Formats: sequence, C-alpha cells, structure tokens
Amino acid sequence: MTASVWTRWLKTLVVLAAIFGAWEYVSRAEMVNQFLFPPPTQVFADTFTAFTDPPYRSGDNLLFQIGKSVYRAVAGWIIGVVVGVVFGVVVEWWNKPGSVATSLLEFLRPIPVILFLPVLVLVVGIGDLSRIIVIAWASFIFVAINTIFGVRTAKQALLPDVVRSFGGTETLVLRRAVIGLAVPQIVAGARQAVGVALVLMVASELILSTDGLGWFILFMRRSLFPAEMYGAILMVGVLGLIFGALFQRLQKVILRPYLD
Amino acid sequence: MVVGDLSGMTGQKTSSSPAIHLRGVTKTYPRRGHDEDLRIIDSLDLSFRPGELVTIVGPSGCGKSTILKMIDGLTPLTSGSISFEPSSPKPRMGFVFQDYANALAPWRTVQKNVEFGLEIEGAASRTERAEAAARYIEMVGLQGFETAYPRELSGGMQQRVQLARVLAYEPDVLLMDEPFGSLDAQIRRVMQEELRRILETLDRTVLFVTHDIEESLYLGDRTVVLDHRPARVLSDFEQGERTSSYEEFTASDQFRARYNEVWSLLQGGRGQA
Repeated sequence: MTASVWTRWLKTLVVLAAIFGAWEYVSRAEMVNQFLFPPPTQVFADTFTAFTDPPYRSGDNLLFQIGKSVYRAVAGWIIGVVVGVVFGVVVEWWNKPGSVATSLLEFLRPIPVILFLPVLVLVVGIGDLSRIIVIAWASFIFVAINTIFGVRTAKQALLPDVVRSFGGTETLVLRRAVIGLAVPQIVAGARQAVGVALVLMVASELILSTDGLGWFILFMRRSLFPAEMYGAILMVGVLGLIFGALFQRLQKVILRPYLD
Repeated sequence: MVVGDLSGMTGQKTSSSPAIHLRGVTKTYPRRGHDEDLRIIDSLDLSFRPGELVTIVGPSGCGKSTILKMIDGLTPLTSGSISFEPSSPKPRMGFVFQDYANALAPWRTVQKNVEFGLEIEGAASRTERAEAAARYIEMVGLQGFETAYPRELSGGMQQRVQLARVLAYEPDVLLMDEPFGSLDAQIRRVMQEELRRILETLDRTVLFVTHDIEESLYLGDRTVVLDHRPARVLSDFEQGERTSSYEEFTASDQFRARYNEVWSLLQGGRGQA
C-alpha cells in the first residue's frame, strides 16, 4: 500500500474508533436506554454468534440469510446488466428513435422500483424471483441508459469511419469500433447499478419479508434483539464496501486496455 | 527516427493502382435559412494517373478533404462521377486521418492497431497479419513499441501507427488528409522526410491533402492547387526531380519560384479562408 492509501485508511480507522468509542461510553454509562441502544462491543459479539447460532428457534443462521440476500442481488444485477447492454446497443444502433427509448427510460428511472414489488408478487409469487426481478429492473435501467449514451457517442466518433475506410460493413463498424468505444460508459452504468442493487436488496426484503438480511433486521427488531439488529444494519454497510471493492477489481480488469 | 528495411516493398515498374477520374464532381450541403445550398465543390474535373504522388494544396476549408472522402466513398457526391480505370477489381483504398488520436482504437496495442485494417478486410490469416504488422511497424520506426497503447505515445508516434496501419493494408490508392496538420513543426519536418522516402518506394497512387505550401511542394511529384469554396483548380503542375533533403529543397531557387507562384495564386483566389 502506498503511503497516502495507508494514511487514509488510518484516518478512517481513527474516526471509526472515535465514533464507536463514544457510542460505547454513552451506552455503558446508561445515558440512554442500554437495552434499546446496546454498546458496540455487545453488538459485535451478539451479531457474531448469530452468524452460526441465531437467537430464534426455526430458521437459518445469519450467514445463510446474508447468502440468500447476496444471491438475489447478484443474480438481479447480472440479469439487469446483460439485458441492459443488449437492449441499449440494439435500440441505439439500429433505430433512429433511440431518443424515444432514452426518454422512456429517463421517465421510468425515478419511479421507485420497489413499488412494483406487490404487483410482481401477484404474478410470480413470493419466492426469490419477485425480488430478483425488482433488482434486475433497476440495474437494467441504469445500464441501458448508460449503454445508449455510450453507443450514441461512439457512433459520432472517428473510429467508425476508420472501419468504413477499410471497407468494413456496418456490422463490423459496430463490433470493431462502436462497442469498444462504448465499454467505459457501459461499465460506469454497471457500477451505478451495483449501488442500486444493494439498496433494493435490503428494501425488497423489508417489504417482502421471508428471509435474507432485510428480513433478519426486521425480525430482530420485532423479537426485541436490538444488538443483532444493529449488527445486521452495519452488515449492510459492510456488504456495500465488499461489493464496491469487488466491482473495482472487475472494473480494473475490463478497463485495463483503456486506462493506465 | 530510424526507418527500417524498405527492401521488402514491391519495386514493380507497373503500378497496381487504378487511374482515377473525377468528372463534373459537385458537392453541396443544404443550408438552413438560405435558398441556395452551400457549394463546397462545383463541377470539378480531375484525373490521376496510376502510381502518381500528388499533393493537393489549398486554403483550409476549401473542400480538399471532402474530395478525398468522396474518392474513398466516405462521403457521397451530390452529382458528377468518380470512376476508376480499370473499374474492376474494386480498388482498395487506405485513408490516413488528420486526427490521429481518434483514428486509433485506444483499447488496442500498437501491434493490434496496425493489424486493424487487415482484420477488417478479413482476407489475411492471423500469422500473415502479425507478420505484415511487424514489418511495417519496423518500417515507420516504431519497433519496440508493439505492446504500447496509443495514449502512451507522442502525437508523431501515433500518426506513425496510423501510417503503419494503412501501409500494412497495402492499398491500391493511399489517401492522406493533412496527416501532419496537428503536429508541431519539428516533428513535421522529420515525418515529411521519412514519408517521402517511404512513398517513393511505393508504386501506388498517393493523394496527399494539405494547406501547407512547403509541404505540398516537397512531397508531391505533381501538385494541384485548389481555390477556396467552391473548390476549383487554380494550377496543376509537375515538379520533376528534386532533392529529398528538406533543407536543401526549401533553399533552392526551384522551390522558391514555385512557392511564390502558388502563394500568389492562392492570394488572388476568390474569398478568404
């Protein structure tokens, strides 16, 4: 690690330590209701045991719940990205009304996807599929919008003409020039989709609660296990960091030919 | 810049290039708010013999690039015709763009970029492509940079990659659109001398467009002087034998006379750039 990265991590650790330290003190000193607001040491300990030994009789442990959530998020994200790229390329490359598609997507984007969940449940039932579809839909919107923009910009670049000057068909122009030029923009869309997938992963499980991390949070709240609840909430943040880091790795590999 | 071994180039006497005939070529663009279209080129008649090294010089924006693009088929004609003699097989064109940075694929290495033209055509096998690329990378003096990316290279080097790419394609006609226009004077001088050396071993038709009079006289065996929009031929002359040293040439009387001639022609022409 370089010096600057190391100091940045150190500073973050110090700040976190200060926050947790304050929390610990406030809780232990009973300045707040210690039951509802347990100290971080207890939160960590109880959450840790919940990974293997949850405080409920029937149902799987926290590790399993997290696994379920992650599975739905990843599946939804992958589907959304793949469909989004294909859709974006097809719409923008072959049709003039690419702008119609973009306007339509821009219109759909701010609509909270979570609202679709009840409707989806009526159609596909309360299994994993309904939540995967919600996550896939949101990912799709981000990726499709970015793909359309990337392809549109690529079409106006010089490289397509280069392909034509060597006698390339329009298909070759797409394959050899336009896609390559659009990749950075597509990756940016996929990166946005990661964040959205995570949020929807939890949100969909809060609304449609059968299992997963979101269900765990709610269940711990209802069953009055605040320590485990806070722990699970923190886990959401940790998952965010992990997903972000994993995507960074993936991005580095894909974009290596484009960046230094 | 070190130029590699040129002996691999074909030294045939008869050129494989076609003759090119432009007859009554007109190019107009519709203008909003005007009744008349914008006439870039008006009834241009021009012919090129096989294997000629022709420079086309004129003020910026006079339509010279458009002429090249129409010959290549990148831009359609409004009217008139461009024909090749012989008309079949269809001549293979190589185009060198002024904007070298955007003419190269940023995600491809130098080697892969040089292979690009052959890849598009799809006629050569993978090994043939790699060999051709290696040969021309050496010819333009970029050996050692095969695995570098365009962004890691200077402007002059990037333009050399483009040159290698189009040479590896071995086109029948080489069209060059102000390839050195974006380079600084030092690099330009070096590139011009090297290009001349390369082009003189090539027995193909080369059409080189520029707005730099010195460059056009140095490079071109034949020079066509074009007027401002609409483009029309102000002069069309052969220079014959001249030294390949840029310094010597530009110091010669032959050059100076021609330069003044072209300069006053362009000054006297209609309109400004």
